[in-house]
Amino acid sequence: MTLTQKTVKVGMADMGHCLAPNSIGSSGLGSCVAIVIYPANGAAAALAHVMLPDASIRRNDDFNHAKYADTAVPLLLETMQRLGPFRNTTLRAKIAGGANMFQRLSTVDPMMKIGERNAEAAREALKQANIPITADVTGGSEGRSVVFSLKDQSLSVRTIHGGTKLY
Amino acid sequence: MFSIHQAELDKIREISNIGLGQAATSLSRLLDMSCKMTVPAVTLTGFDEIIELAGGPENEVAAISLKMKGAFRATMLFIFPAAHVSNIIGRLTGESTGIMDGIGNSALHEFGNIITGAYVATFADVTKLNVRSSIPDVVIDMAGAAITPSLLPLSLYGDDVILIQTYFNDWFAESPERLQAQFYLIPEPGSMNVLRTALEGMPS
Repeated sequence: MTLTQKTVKVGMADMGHCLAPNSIGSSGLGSCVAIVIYPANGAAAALAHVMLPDASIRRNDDFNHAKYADTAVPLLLETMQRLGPFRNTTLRAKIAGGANMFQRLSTVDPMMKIGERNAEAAREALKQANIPITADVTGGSEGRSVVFSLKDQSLSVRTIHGGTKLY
Repeated sequence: MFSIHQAELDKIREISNIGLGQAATSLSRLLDMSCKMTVPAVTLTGFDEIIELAGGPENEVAAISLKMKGAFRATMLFIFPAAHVSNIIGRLTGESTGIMDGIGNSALHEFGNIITGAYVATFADVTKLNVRSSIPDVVIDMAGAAITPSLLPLSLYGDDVILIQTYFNDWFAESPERLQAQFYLIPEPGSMNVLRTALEGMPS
């Protein structure tokens, strides 16, 4: 019997998870950052597509934890705990995105530089949770689409001008 | 929470109809061909829906963006299919040149200047608000990556944005087709009240 593999798609400010041997991905990341957390044995993975670094800057109470890097990491950890008895010490992370898409405009509007801050906030939140980062594909000025595969725990990152690379 | 009334959206449509009409006229002169556009539809649209309208997060688009500054602060974003970029550049420069080389890039910036400049001038005229615009920035990339950065200031409040959707005629098709362009006016949250007051002063 062969198992059909599928890729779970995660939209903006959203999160999702998948079990082996499936994949999980997010498309068209610009300044947004995809944070993937998975156990070293590759049994499951959870991914959040964060837009902003820090939930304390929000202005409303309608509060989506997957939207902010600092609240998305605890949410991903909770999700992993629901999926299986994974000890936090076995968890790993990969992150991608955090580009500066409009370099000219970012000189007049610091909000446009949010990509760097998103990536930094993701690193900081993972450090707080003691989760090592095994791939960090952030920065630059290009959009990225990512797919994390539980078959080999690879993160495939595609850009329009640079093709697809595995991390 | 970000909110806007139908009467206000109607006035924004009126401004946009005039502003984008001026842009089409300027383009006609620049490209030396007839450019027409349809009356825009103005709606409040969710972030995810906007990305879908642009052909999905991975669809390759050209995005021209600028900042409106002064009494009213906003981001303006103009999106059209990337497949049209080389034709536009060719028409402007009279030669086939790459998008990323010097001449192609400045031709595309000039194209962005004309469309957005005509809109900002009309906007300032009609609302009597003292606004000026930054130089536009141009990006050719995945729709998700090109659109999202402009939505961030509003995303602190909610997940909606004012979408001004229009069709330009497709200048380069064998038989004239309509080229869908998406045009966004994304007020900074602190400027919503300024816009609201200015719109109240307009005849309805």
